[in-house]
Amino acid sequence: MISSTNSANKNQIIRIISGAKRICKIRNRMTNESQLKYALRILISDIFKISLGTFIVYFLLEQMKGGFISNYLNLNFLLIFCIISGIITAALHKEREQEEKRELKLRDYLVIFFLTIITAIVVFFEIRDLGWISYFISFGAAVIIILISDALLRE
Amino acid sequence: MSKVWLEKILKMVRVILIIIPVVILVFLVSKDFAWSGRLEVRYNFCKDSPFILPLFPKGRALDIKKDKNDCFQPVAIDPVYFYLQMPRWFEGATVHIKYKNPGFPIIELGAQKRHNEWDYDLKPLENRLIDSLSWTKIQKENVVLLQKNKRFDTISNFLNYLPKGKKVVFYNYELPSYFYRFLRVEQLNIYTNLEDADYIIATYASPKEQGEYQESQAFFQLKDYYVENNKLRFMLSVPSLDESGKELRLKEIRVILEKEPLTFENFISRLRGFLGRILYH
Repeated sequence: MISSTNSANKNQIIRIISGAKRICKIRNRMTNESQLKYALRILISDIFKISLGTFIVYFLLEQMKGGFISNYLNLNFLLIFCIISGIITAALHKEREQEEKRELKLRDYLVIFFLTIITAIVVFFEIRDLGWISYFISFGAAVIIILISDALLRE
Repeated sequence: MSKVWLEKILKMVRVILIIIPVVILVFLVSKDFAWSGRLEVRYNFCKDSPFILPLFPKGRALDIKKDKNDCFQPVAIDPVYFYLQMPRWFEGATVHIKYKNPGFPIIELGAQKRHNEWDYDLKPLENRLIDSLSWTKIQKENVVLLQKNKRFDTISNFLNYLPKGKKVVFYNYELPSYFYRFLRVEQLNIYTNLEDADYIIATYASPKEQGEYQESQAFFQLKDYYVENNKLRFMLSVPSLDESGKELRLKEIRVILEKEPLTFENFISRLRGFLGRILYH
C-alpha cells in the first residue's frame, strides 16, 4: 500500500519536473529572442513541416493513381511553397544554438513504422508488373527507409 | 502577451494548418470518386484539361487561337477526334459543344463503338435542314415530327395511322419495320431532296443560341461504347466542311458525367468493388 502511494507520488514529481523543464526551455528560447521573432520562427517552421508532409502524402497518392491529385491541383505550386518556407525556416534557425541530441521516442518509432509501410506499398504498386521480384524490391525499399529515418531522427 | 498565451495561439495555428490539407484532400477524394454521382469537366481551349484531350489530327484541327480571354479552335477538315479521359467509370456522359457554325447543314458528334474499328454512333448537334423548314412542327420530348401539310395532331397519331404512300424522311430515329411496307422512306443527309418529302421524323433538339455561338448537347450511355482505361474516343463530323473553304470554330467542350451517387445502402458494395479493383487490377 505504502509502496504504491510512493510510486504514484514519484510519477507525479517526475511529471512536474518534466513540465517545468519544458517551460524553462521555452522561456530560455524566448529570452534570447523577441516574442514576435520566436512566434514567427515557430510558425514558419510549422508551415514548412506541414506543407512538406502534405506534399509527400499528395505526391504518394499521385504516384499510386496518376491524376488523383494533379487533375484538380498543381503539385508544383505546393512544392514551390514548400521550398520557400523551407529556405526561410533554415535561415531563421541558423542563428539558434544547436539543440541537444535526443533519444528516439515512441512517436519517432511510429513515424518510422508508417513511413516504411507507405513506402513499401507505393513501391509495390509502382513495380507490381515485374512479378515476384516486386516483393523483394519493396522489402528492400522498406529497409532503406528504416535505416535512413533512424539515422535522421537521431541527428 | 504572456508566453503561455503565445504558446496556446501557436498550437491553435498548428491545428488549423494541419486541418487545411486534410480538408483539401477530402475535397479532392470526393471530387475524384464523384460521390455525388456527378462530375462536370470542361475544355475551353485557353487551358489544357486533364479530362478532355486536344483535338486531332493536326491539320484538320488547326492551331488554337487566343484573343484576349476568347480562345477557340478552328476545324477545317472533317472529321476530327478527341478523347474523354474519365477519372473512373461513369454510366452516362452528356457532351455539350459550344461552336460557331458559319452555315454547315449538319453537325454531329459520335462515340466509338468498337475497338480498332471506324464505327461511331453519331448523334446530332445541329441540323439546319430541319431547323430551316417552315413546316408544321410537333415536338414531344426529343422527338420531332414535321409535316409539309398538317394532318396529324400528335406524334403517336402519326405512328398509329401511317399516311400510306407518302414519303417520310427520318433522322436519328429508329423506324419500326412496318414503315418500309407502307411508306416511301429515306434517311436524311446533306444530299436529301426535301422537296418531294411529306414528313420528317427525327430525334433532335435545336441548338441554343449564345451570342455569336451555338451550344448543343448529345447524351451517350457509356456501356454501349468502347471505353478502355476509362478513355472514350469521340468524333466530330461536319459533312461538306472540306469543300466549303470555311471553318467551324469550337469554343468549348463540356462533359457532364453521371453515375449512381454514393449512399448508405450501396456504400459497402461500392467499397468492395473498389478494393477488388485495386487488388486484382
